[in-house]
Amino acid sequence: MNLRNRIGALAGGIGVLMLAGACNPDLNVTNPNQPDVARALASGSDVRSLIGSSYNTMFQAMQGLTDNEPLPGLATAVMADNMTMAYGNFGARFNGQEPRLAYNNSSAAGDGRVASTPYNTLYGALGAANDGLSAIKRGIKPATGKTAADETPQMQAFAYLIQGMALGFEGLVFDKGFVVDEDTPVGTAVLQPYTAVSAAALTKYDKAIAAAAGKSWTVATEFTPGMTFTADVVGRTANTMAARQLAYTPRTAAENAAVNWGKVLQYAEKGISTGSPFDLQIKGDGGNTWGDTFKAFADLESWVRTDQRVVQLADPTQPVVYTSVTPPPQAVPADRRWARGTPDADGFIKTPGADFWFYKDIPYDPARGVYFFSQWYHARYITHSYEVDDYMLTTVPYVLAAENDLLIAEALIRTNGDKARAASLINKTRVGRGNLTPLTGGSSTNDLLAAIFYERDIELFATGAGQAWFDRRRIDTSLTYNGLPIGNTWGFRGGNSLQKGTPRHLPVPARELETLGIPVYTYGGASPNPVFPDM
Amino acid sequence: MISFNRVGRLFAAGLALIASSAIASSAQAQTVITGRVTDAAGNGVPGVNIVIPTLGPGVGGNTKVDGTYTMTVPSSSVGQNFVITARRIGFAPVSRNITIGAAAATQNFQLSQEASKIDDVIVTGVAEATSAKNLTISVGHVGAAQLKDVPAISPASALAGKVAGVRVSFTQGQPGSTPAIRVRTSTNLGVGTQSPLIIIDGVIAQNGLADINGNDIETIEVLKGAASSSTYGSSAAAGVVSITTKRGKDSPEGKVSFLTRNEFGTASVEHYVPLLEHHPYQLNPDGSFVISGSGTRVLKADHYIDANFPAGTYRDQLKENLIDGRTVTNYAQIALRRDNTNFSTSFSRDTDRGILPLLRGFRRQNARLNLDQGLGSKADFSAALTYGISNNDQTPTSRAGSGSTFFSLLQAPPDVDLTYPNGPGTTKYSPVLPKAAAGGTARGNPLLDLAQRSYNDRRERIVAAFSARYRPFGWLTFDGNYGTDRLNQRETNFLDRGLVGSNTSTENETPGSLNLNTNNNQASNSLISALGNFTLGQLHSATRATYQYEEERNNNFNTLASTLKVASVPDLQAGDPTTLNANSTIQTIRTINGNVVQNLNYGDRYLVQLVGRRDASSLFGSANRRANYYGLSGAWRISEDFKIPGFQELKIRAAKGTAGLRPNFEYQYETYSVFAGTLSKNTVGNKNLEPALQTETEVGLNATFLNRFDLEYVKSDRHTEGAFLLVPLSLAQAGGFTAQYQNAARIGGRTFEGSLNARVIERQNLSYNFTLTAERSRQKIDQLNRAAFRVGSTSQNQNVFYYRNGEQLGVIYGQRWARSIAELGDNPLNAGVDLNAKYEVNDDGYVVLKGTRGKTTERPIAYVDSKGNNNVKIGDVNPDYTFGLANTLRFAGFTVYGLLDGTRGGQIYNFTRQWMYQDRRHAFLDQTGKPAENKKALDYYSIGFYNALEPNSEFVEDGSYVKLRELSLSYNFGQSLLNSMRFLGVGRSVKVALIGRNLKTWTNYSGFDPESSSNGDFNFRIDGFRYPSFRQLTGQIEIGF
Repeated sequence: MNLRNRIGALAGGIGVLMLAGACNPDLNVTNPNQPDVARALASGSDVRSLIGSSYNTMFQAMQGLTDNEPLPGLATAVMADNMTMAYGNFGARFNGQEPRLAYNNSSAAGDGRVASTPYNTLYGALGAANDGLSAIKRGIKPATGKTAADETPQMQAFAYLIQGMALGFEGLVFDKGFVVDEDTPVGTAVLQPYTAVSAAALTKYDKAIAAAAGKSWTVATEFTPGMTFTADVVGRTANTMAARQLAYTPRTAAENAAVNWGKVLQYAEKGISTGSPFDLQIKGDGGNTWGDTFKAFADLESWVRTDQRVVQLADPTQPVVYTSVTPPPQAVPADRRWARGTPDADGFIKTPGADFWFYKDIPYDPARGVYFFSQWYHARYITHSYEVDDYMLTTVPYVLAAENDLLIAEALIRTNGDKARAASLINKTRVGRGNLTPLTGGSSTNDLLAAIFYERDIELFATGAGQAWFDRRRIDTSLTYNGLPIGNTWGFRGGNSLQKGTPRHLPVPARELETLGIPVYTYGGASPNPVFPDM
Repeated sequence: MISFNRVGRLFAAGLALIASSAIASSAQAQTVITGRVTDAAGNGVPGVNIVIPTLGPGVGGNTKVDGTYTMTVPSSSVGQNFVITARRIGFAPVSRNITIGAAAATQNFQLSQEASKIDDVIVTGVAEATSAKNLTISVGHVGAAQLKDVPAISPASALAGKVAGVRVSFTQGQPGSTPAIRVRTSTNLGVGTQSPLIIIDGVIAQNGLADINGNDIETIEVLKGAASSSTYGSSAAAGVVSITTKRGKDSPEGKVSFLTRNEFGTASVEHYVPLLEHHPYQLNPDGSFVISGSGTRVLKADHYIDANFPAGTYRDQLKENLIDGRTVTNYAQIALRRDNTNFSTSFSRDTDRGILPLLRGFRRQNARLNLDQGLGSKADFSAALTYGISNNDQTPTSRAGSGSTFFSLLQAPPDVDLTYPNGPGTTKYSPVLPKAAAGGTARGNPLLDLAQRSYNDRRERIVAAFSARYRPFGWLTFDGNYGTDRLNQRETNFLDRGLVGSNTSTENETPGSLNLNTNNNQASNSLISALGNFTLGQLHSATRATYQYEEERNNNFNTLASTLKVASVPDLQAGDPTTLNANSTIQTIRTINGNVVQNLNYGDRYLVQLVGRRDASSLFGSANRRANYYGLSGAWRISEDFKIPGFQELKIRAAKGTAGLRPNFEYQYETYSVFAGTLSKNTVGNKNLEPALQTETEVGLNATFLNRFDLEYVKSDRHTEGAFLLVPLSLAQAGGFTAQYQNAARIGGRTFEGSLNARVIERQNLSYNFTLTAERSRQKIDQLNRAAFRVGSTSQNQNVFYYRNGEQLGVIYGQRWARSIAELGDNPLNAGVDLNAKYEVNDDGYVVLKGTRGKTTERPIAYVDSKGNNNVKIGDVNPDYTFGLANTLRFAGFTVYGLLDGTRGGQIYNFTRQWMYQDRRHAFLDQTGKPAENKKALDYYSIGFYNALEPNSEFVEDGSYVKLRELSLSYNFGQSLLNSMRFLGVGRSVKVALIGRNLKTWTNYSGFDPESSSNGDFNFRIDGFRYPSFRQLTGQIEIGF
């Protein structure tokens, strides 16, 4: 048995050696590539970054930098016959088809991103703002470092503003949404109608307004390139956003009439156009983290054109759509915001300072429908668009001070307020930029409201994603402008403010519904395709 | 810190088992037997094991390099009769009776090499090298004989059609791409996650097969699933492909042998996508197009695509722009065997240009060095080193997907010269195609990017294995191995500042961009194992215990300057600092495992294998760091017990085992995404994540009958528990987290596979044999712990598959166009509608609105079921069966070898055609030659079927095909001719051959190639602007001496 012992010793020796080796490798490997959530939420500096960068996320949700697609801006502008594009990208062609098709709420459809991208991104922003606020509640103090100044007051107020923007955009674009904040336990929220979501947004704006009132702090500008959010700016921004929320939530003219316009006036009077006016704006960095993708496409002549409906607004002699490949005679709008003169050798009219330029050639395939055609394109933000080499580097607005003025004007009219003041607010851009006939306090309510909606189509063109669509669904159907039925443009297509079968809000994205185990549904569509309610 | 006691205990138990076999081995030596073992040519055969089985493992010896051996027999055996056996792997063992005398005796043996396929020797998944006859598990095998006629382009393609149950598919055909391999059925639901574990000369290869030269392969062994791959534990559920490169062991003793093989040829497309040769536009009396005021062509009122292009203006853009690319392979091998040293080295150079113009294609150089060195009589040392360096300028855009070269080429207007689209003297390859060209300019000029972009993907790969073997006793062997796989990859993607831009309707100058990425992967595995065997009477036992440590470190660094400030400087310093972007990742992965394999063989009749394995890995969630696996298999060689007329061999076998799949690195972590310093939420962590666990049961039968046929038939049933899924969460409910990786699915698979090898004619000057393999697999999602979801390959959002509980894997969902008026009645919205008054069926068999036939308003109508759902099953990618048929015919010096393979049934989603319907480029839209009443307006296709790219039944096509995958006609120069080439020295051979690869495909599929799948996954047969695989026709000359 000598040999057996030797073998045993050998085997045992090797076994011991290997077991010694076996204990050494550490299997608890960390992931060094991304910040661990638990650790990040315990760090004041990370909590500060989390809240601060959620503003960027929220901006992307609205203006479409996520995936570098102008979602939902372009599809909704097409649905509003504000912009036109015959290419299949970004849901523009599908949702612009005539007769209208039902919004394709399928998790298999590429166009499904029209709803899912902003939906996911805005809830991402909301989740980050909520996490930041709950960390603050747990006593974490946002600051650049352990010995640096405590930034709790401004980051908290800023987080409220972002909560409002996220819930607000959900309430404007979608039919339903989750209302979640820092106090909502994970997994407990349920879907609520858009009215409840909008109401929740208002409470967040109110909290932001209250938190900023009388304060003198500033949110670090690293989070908000292009503008500085002082306490005053945060408060006035929240006021303007709250006014927008109330005014844009309606899906029909009737709902619009039922809005508490007195409340709109209250908010707008403290908004961004009062005192020293400012635009809500960002400065791009080439689209790396900052850039307004909506404008990058909206002002790209070879892709997106101004819808002929808007061209007709500016020149009532124009048809509301093309009926053949032959263009109508060149439009000559009275409004100075439109290019004028004769085309150059290449067929362009690029009048400096004008917002809308002309190009005689149309890039679209006529087989896709001549109703997509237009010879006009928007150029006010062209330096931010893919038209230039150094795109998305300039500073561009997403809410103009003028928008707040128009909200004040509309609220004044709808509350039987000071019509002369309303007229002068409208005239700021109508006359100041468009050189059109001034309105007065004696102008008719129709003329004043119609002029407001005209300004909203022309002056606010390509600013905030969704704005044109929010307006078209709520516009008074009886409004006329220069003799045109601008509130009922599509009479001959069986619709009224929006073309027949155009969804008035988007459904909760299919993939989300599937995850929640709720049957997939959708809105819109006109014969002969499946038809669903518009809202 | 993880305690790894159990792995240690397992290993120690194995060692104890090995040690116990020493009981039988103590003896005192007396009589000496010597002799020499030679092969048929009279050369000594080293490494032959000489044993007298009944005297136990202590009695015996091994032959030396010259074939001589010495063994001693105890004096107690004198006067007795014994069986003495000489055996060596690769040779048929020889036994004879001897009577032991008191004096020294001589016993010489002559061994013949085993040739028949069934006698192949298997080394993967077993305790010791085992003859295929004695296997209890399924191991696919491709040997030198099957590889020599048509050297494989890559190791994976060498498997195509040759091993039952193994499918190989070229997802992308571009040169340098590696085909995807799937063994039996899917083990996971994610895209591209069915790849088997790859082992090259014992090294766990983490970086694929792209850098390995097919000429260097000696054998490939495939373990097909958990029933056979349990020894590989948590990384083997999808099977194991083990590749052994050529070594010098078969060279003649003391001689240096040279082999050179040079192959030259061309690559070309076989099947072109049919293009539309007519148009729907109005023409002027002079034959030119009518152009509208808005610069576009004017459609005819009927929108029929049936007008001829003005004479001489139509171009077939595919045939005009795709090229016949050159392919060259130079290969040289030197091998040497002398005394205790085997040595083999090779060098090869491959150039494969592919079919795209303006690119150089794929260029690779490989060097290999294999060395075996005996150290005294008890130890060996081996090294295997493969070094590959390749450059490839097939750019990301020349490969696949939207925006790719094939996308814009297939959609290019047919009446434009893409070299000078705006006429001679204008910008070459201009991105701005003439506005009036048919169908607009949005897709750009496919040649521009090929001409302008400087792209290079440089891969440098080292696969090295070092092993030492120590045999303290005849029955005990220790092995120590260290293997490492290292990849250094550098990708340069440069577009110079000032090049012509393509983003607008007028030419402009681009700001340029520079993208530099490096990828550094370093994987190693170290193992130590002990093998003990003994023979007791008729019982032979082999036990192997192995302990292994694996480590992988991946570093990735990406930089992008999206705007350049300076022209012609491909350096990041030239980038605009405000647009510079950089990101990096680091991954460390560690795994420890131990296994014991026990093989028992009673009289070559009754065979049993037992496997136990334990893994611990950093990839498993922290709450589940360990996993156990087992394997149990047995076989009965019936023909050894009963003589069955006509049967030379009959074996039945059964096996059951488990194996796993490891989670990916990031699966378990709860993190924020961080991009350019901003944070956003990512996945919820999962501490409980386990490796997916596959359990497989297989039964099989092997038979050799009528002295000419070898048959294998296997049925496998498997299910994978806890397959990984990124389970989407309601972002809103989950506080912003998007998803979590979970063990969320159970996937079942059943495979029937078989192979038949027939030696039909075997004569001196004429032989013919064939091997037929066939497989039928079915796979199902048994359970899905999440909402049903849409899935597709990652490019273009082709989410045509719908995964849900109980659904078969690979079923295509989408809208189905109604073919009968009655079925429209299922739609609840049609309740009370007089359908016959409203609809009619057109000549294509589709339901359309009544009165729209032939008009621009004619559209197919989507079927809607009684629940209002229009998302229905429209196809299934799973073939009824797949098969391969390899034929070899030899006469005189000629050899004809042909390999056919194919599938019957199984559908493809032709996404390419759907896109082409929109742009009106596909020949199916052509209305010429149709009777007037059957003509369709283009809108029927470009709006109706195109359907905004929503998946629909129009684009589901039968993917059946038969492919002549390999064909060679070769001639080995006869001895008389070779005699005149004495300058080549002894052992000379000269072979010339004509070789074809993918020569001919018989199919009804309308795309480039029915062998389509996305992202290397057979469940995703979606054809979306892929680089087509091409045929190769080459001439080869091989000289050996």
